[in-house]
Amino acid sequence: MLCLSSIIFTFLALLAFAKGENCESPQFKITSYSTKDARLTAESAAQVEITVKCKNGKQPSTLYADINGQVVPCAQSAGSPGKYYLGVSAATHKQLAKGRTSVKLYDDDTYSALRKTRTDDAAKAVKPFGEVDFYHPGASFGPWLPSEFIAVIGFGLVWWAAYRERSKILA
Amino acid sequence: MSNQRSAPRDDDLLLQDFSRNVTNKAWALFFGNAAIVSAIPLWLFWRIHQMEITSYFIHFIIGTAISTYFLNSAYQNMKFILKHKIAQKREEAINREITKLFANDKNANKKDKDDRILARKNEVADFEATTFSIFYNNAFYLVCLIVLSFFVFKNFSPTVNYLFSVGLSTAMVFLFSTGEK
Repeated sequence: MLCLSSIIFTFLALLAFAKGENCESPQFKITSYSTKDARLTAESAAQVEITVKCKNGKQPSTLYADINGQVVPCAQSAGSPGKYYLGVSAATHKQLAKGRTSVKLYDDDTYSALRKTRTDDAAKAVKPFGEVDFYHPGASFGPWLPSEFIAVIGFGLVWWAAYRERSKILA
Repeated sequence: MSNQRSAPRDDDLLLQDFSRNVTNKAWALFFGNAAIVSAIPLWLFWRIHQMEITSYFIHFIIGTAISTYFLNSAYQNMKFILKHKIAQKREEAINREITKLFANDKNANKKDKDDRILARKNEVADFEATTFSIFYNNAFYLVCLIVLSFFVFKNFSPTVNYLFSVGLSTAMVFLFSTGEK
């Protein structure tokens, strides 16, 4: 009896300890930068910095991100705990979707559960650690006409109006 | 007696009307405008052509000073040419204005009315010629500057670009300010 209760007690203690290791009620903050100039670049890339704050102060040891169907581990910085970095690159500007892109995040436990699934439906049923959005405004080729051309046209029109007025006065 | 006293006044008005000299107020207005417009290219060359002020301040000072002087002269030249033409064009309207003003004044004589018309015509023509001269010369200067700086001398070094753009723009404005057509 004593042996059984000690086993149960040890198991419960281990369970509590294990639960205490995980991040509880995570809050996410996103900072992102992506390619904006399409005229001087051939490819697009985006860098996403995810800051995770947990209620119990614990941080996930590894964070995985599901972006465009691919699950990749996020990089971490030794000097900045709680910050995870995700890099995305695309061979053409159109391949990096403009607007909001949803990124599912997995910690060790949820990633293990995801790895064990065999079907897409089962994979979709796995609840992720969190979900964040990053915004890509799109890469622009800039204005159709160079700015100096527009300036010349603008000032030229003003000068032309002044010249006509002067001709009328001197006539 | 009154003829002797009014004659110098008529002479003064005529001298003022036909003289190339500008009043202090007009000179200050011209100089201030010329200085500001001459300083505009500095921002362009500093921020877009990447000419640091600390390295090129001598070029900037010389260019701005020369440009200010010749723009000032261009304003004065064009004002002198335009003033008489404007006075002729505005004569009828000013006559009507003064006549209406003197319509109810029984004591006024023709001499006073003519003096008033002449003074008012001079004032209106002076103001309109001053402002139009500044407007036209500024517009012409800026068009020349943009065309020379961004199209003609685009592939030259920034120093050559600045000196030639500002110099040629100023020269063209000064040259064309003396034209009567």
